Amino acid sequence: MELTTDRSGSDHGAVDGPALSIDGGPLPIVEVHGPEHTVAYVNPAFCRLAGRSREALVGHPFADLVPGGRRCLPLLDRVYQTGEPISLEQHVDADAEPAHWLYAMWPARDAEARPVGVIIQMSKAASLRENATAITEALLVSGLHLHELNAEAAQLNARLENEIIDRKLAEAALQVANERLADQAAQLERLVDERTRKLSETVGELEGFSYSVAHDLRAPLRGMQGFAQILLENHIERLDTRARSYLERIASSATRMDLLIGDVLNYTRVLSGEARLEPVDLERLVRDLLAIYPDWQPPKADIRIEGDLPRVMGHEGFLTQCLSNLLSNAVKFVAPGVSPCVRIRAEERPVAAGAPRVVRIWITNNGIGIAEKDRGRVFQMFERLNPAEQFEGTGMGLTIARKAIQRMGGQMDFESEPGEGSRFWIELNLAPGREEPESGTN
Amino acid sequence: MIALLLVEDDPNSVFFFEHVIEKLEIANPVSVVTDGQEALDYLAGTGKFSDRMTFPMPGVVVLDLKMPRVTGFDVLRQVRAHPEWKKLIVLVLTSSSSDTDIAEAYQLGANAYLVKPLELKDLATMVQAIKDFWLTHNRRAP
Repeated sequence: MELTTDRSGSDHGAVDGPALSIDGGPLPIVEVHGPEHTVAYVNPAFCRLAGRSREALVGHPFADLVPGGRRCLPLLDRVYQTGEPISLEQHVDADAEPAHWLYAMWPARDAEARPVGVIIQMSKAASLRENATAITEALLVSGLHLHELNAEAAQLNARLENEIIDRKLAEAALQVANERLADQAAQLERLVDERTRKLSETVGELEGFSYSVAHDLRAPLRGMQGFAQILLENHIERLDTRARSYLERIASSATRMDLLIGDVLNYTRVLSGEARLEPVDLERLVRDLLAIYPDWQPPKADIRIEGDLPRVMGHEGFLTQCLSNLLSNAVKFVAPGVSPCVRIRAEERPVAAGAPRVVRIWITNNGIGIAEKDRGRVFQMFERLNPAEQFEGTGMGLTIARKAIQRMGGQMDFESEPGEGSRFWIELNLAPGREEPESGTN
Repeated sequence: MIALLLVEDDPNSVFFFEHVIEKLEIANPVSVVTDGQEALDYLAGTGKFSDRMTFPMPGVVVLDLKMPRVTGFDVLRQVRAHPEWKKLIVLVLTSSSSDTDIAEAYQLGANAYLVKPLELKDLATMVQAIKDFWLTHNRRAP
């Protein structure tokens, strides 16, 4: 045990009772009073050191409170009696954790500067020898640890290098693959461009071909038709009934041929024409159509719009083509003696949220109907379900109508029972914007 | 009385046109040439067309499009480029109903575009309309 005297702090002002100003001090401080060195004040740091509350400490003799506290008693007595501060270092083995404590003691005085007790401040210290040992040990340990760390780092480095090499290889491979992909994409694009160009050339040629064929075929037809007509008009008196009927057949064959050529042209137009879609007022379009053809008006036919027809996204030419084909079929394919009755109405269809609104236009007729077995043939080119003598036509009307609807992004089909008439429908997107009146839905 | 020039290479079409003119008792003089080059020669009054008494300068030209040598489009182009002919009434009468042809004809300055009908009675209606509108009511540029 080493004793030193230190006067610094001896002029510390006397304390009577707990000194609140040192409450927050980081080092443990305790003040004892009287010859028994009874604890009068402890700061929180001391409470933490002793592991007890302030209430459990105050009022007890100091010697009982700290390990090795009894050995401090002579010093405390001395300070109490002499009024001189003392510092000492004390090794404490009693604890599980060996520690060196540095004690500083100075007298506590009352108002008349008479010593009433002693203030003890404790600070933890480590001896040099022990410190050295500890440092050596720490160095050894850290040396070992450093070695381990180095080995680990070397391993990690090797692994990282391998990974870097792998990654570089992968990157190189990826780049090659990318370049190849870009190459192929460019090649594909060129191919697509080339084929598109060829295709549009072919389409253009085909269109030109159809028109010139139509032109060239129609000239001789007009000849047949015209001369047959002139014979029938100007030379009728020199013809017998049979000759007249032959001439009539020449004329009607020419008419039929002309219809066929016309429909081939219509089909070509629907197939290859530009289908730019814009809002079309279906109501107006149908009313205009009905007004043009005498065969579609009373008393020849009863064609009516039920409710209102909306504005749809479509192509006026294609829509006209499609609807006139449907209407002329509806009027044509009726049983003998039956007056055609056609109803046209609109019905909005349910669609997924956010999808464009779709309308279905129903064209219901009282015709001869279509048997289920014929369903597949209805939309096929040149297919005729009924004998030509009974119903005139080219067998292309519905093919053209459906193609026109498809070019406008829509659909077309029908429901039918033989003898019960047919219900044809087409579906198109509603034109956006202006609210259109709907029948059958709202 | 306004003279009419029919430019038509198909003999049947020429026959029917004249047949209808006769039937409708249209008195206007009608001349016929059978291709585009002849039409240009006729208008210029060159060669065999130099006699204006026999081949009067037409007030209305009825023009087919698909013809050998010089087509109807070529005729239109040259007529519209010519200082004296550019105000001439030119009615296209063709069997083509192609949108491209219709557009080009108007682009080149046709005054009307008519598609040859199949039946004579429809042709008669058309020719009567030409007579009523272009030869009777319409006022031509001086």
